[in-house]
Amino acid sequence: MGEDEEPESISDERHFEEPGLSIRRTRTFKGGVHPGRNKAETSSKAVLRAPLPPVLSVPLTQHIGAPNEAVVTPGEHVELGQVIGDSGAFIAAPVHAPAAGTVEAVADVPDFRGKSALCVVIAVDSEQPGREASPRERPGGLTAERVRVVAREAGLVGMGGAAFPTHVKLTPPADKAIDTVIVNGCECEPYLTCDHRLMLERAPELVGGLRLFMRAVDARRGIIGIEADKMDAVESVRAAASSCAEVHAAALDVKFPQGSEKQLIHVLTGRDVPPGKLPSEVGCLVQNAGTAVALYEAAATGKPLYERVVTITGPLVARPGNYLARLGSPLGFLLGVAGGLAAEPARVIAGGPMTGWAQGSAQSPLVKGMSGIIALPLLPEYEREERACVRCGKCVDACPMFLLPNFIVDAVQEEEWPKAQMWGALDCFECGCCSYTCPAFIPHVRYVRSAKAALARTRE
Amino acid sequence: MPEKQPDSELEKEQEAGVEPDEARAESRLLNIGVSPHIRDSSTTAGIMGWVIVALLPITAYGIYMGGVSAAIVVAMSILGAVATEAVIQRLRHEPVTVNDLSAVLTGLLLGLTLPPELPFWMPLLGGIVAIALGKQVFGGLGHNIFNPALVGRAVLFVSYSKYMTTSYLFSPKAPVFASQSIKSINAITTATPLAAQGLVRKDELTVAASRYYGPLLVGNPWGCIGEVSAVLILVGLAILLYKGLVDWRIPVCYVGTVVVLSWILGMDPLFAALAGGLLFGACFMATDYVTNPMTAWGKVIFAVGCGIVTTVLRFYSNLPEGVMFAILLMNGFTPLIDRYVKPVPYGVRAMRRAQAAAEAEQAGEAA
Amino acid sequence: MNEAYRYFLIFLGALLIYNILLIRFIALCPLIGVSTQVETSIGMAMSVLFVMTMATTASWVAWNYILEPLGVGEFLYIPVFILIIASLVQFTEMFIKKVSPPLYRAMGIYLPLITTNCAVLAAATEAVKPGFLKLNVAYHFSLPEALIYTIGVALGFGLVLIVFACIRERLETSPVPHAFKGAPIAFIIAACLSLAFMGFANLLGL
Repeated sequence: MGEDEEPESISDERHFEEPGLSIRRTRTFKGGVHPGRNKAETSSKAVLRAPLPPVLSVPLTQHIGAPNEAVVTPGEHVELGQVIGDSGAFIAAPVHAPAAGTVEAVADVPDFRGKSALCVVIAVDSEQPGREASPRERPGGLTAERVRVVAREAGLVGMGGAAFPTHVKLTPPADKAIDTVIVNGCECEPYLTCDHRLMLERAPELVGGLRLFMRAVDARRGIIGIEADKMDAVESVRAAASSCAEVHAAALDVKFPQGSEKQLIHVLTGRDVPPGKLPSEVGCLVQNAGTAVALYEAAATGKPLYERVVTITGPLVARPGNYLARLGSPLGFLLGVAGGLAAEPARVIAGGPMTGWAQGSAQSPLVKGMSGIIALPLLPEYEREERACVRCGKCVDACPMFLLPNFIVDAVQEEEWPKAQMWGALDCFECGCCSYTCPAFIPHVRYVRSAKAALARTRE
Repeated sequence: MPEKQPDSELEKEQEAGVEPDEARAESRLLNIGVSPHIRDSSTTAGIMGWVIVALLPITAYGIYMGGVSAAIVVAMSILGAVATEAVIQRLRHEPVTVNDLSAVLTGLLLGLTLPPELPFWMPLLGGIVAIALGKQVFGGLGHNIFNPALVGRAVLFVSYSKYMTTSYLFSPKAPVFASQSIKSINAITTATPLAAQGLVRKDELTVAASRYYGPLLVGNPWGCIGEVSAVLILVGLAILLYKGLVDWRIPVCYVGTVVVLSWILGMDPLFAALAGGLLFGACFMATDYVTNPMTAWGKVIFAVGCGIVTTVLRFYSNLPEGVMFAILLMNGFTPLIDRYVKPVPYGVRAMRRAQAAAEAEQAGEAA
Repeated sequence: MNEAYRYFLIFLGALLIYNILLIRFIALCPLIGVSTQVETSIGMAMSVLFVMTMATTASWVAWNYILEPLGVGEFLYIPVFILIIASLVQFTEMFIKKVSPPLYRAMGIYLPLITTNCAVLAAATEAVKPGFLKLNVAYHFSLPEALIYTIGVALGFGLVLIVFACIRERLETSPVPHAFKGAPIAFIIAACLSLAFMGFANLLGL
């Protein structure tokens, strides 16, 4: 960042001396697991630009919240960055055309969750005009309200997977003061390195984005949490943030799920978010590193979110690496860009291997919240059948939410839904640590999901 | 009921009445399943296998010390356990899961806690009882309340106590017999409780005890098959701890409690730790996953409870040793401990603090 | 024997060594019937503690001041004790219902169950009449001793009942073979627990 930043903006040393605002010494949380990292394949390779596929299927709704409506009709020609889907609701983020082309249809296409999603199918023009940067104002001069508008107009959502609209997160309830903005650069999932590369290559933009977040919620400090296996990223971010005293980069223990919102808040601030509450309850705002970069870009150049860096890797991928790809590119196409699948059958995962979704179709398109495409060979584990729980307690030790996963499973097997809720099925965020460690191959996550579905049905 | 669970996202949707998408079914070459898509390498059979490996040194040495009869005892109890497991699972039309090695482990544990010179049918009966009454009747692996090997042993102990008490000659109460030859065992058995009473006196015990450190550590010909050497038991424990298979809290708290209480009551602490079945029980019996509490604090309570009961039985009952009864008793208390010692879910403490603060504030305003 | 130690022995004997459920197998009806849930077990245990204490007090008075002086204790004690206990429990029930509805809700449903429970009669008889136990083989318990004995019995009953209920709650989700569901598995658990309690036999020479 630098030259367009006003020095008097928000730097204030004093805030760090206040009690309750010190960064805690603890560098990790209780529970969690240590899966093999498998990051070396991609972490040292610079981000490459992926080519445009002939046809893009852009899901209209790529966020959590109210669904978007298509604002284009088949046959219409769209320009790069033109809004193609939007909603009048507050909890929604617009979707932009990732390339110039002609709208072929608005149709259902399989999505990464194994369902189908309404997509705008765009036949991409062979001639692509470059996008003109249109800085409307200097990022340093934006007001809190303008930051929110920029985030909404650029269609920003959480890019770590949750895909919650960013401008909603930047609008905390009036009675909750936010004092800390945390940028999540942990990338605790194995295989994924897209945030790592961003922190190395785009550190100034990342810090700039963080300062915009801080401005939007009037926070006094910003912390970038990075796992200690990425010390080069820590150094790079520290260098970029050297001019602003209120921004810190913290090196954290390498453990999954270090990048989970609640665990990250606990590690960095010592505060615990009460069950069923949002981080604003304890004065925190957590944003993904990719989102911070995208916000800065949107503010500086007016670029909406129509492309993202995605890690394409796995033992079955010939040219693993990080690719800057347009949203809506089919996963099969992107795998082809990375050299194609070396063998089939394979398990292709959207997201990380601990929490991601196995893909049933090569058609499913890249979306804003998808940080990785990982092709794994079929592991013998997939075929193993569930055996009796021997109460070894590994799942209890691994649970970062301090639940008793095996008791939830018991309750679900009995279809005792209130009991499942009592054991914390609704507090579970499905990190998968329990299933990962279980020697009896019990798929706790699947049980938790059915409990959540059943409890949602009973609420209705 | 697991078969009722939808096997994949696909089936889940079909259950919900959604038409399966044609495009999604397009490629059978893409495999689907629920996250996480990677797994730790541990398996139930692997865990049981490693516990058996940890028991091998002590088994080999016990058989070397006890001779052919010891080998027969161990083999018979394993045979009894495995055969019973297979027969019952066949009768219940269930998949036979002998290959998860848990029945082998139960049989081995039972055999190692028996004296070497038993008639062959006795360990066989013990193995049958252990699996049938100790495990399968509760629904099989993972559902038993009591340690199956100890159930088998307890039944043998109360049914054939004359045979069984010979194993306790080197109990903490009877170090005086250590100097006697193994041939005179039968003659001494009946005298055990009487002789023991005089020995609980402090002065005699401390003098006598230190002479037996050596035999207890490396080669004690008077105990059960698995109690012949404290060093080899600790080697086994080291293997289990290194592989992360047992919680250190249980052996440490169990033995620690016994040592401290025995020291207070005037017995040589090291002797109290080494003698009898304590080390074997604390390392291999009390650490059985199924029958001890889930949580760390629960395990501590469990282990300290075992230690207290063991010490009380050693000092104040006319049993020569209390490890078996202590662990069985605490097994019974495990569901109670699990019910009341639970981890506090993330954020709940913070919520309670906030609530308390809000209430205090309200009270302040009201005042 | 010093007085405090004697009380301790009486209490420990009643609680563990001669545990009414697991060593002497008296009152198996509540053990099998009431122990399916922990909450009901706790309610039952509290009620038994309350009723036993009252029953022993009343029986002790009746034995020492009526039956013994009249010389009819040996052959009349069972009907007399049953009568005393049953009417006492009924009156208590009515009294609690009137005076303390919350307490009634907590204990009320168990009181009629205990009216003629053998454990209550057994505790009262043993605490009052000499010759039942090694503890009072040749002499009468004083009233404090009888009460301590009774409280020990009741706490031993409650402890085992609650432990038992926790075990049965855990087994609820277990695939116990069909033939063993319910009472059979309860008896097997009782047998295993009893095995464990046998370790206490002859503790401290009791």
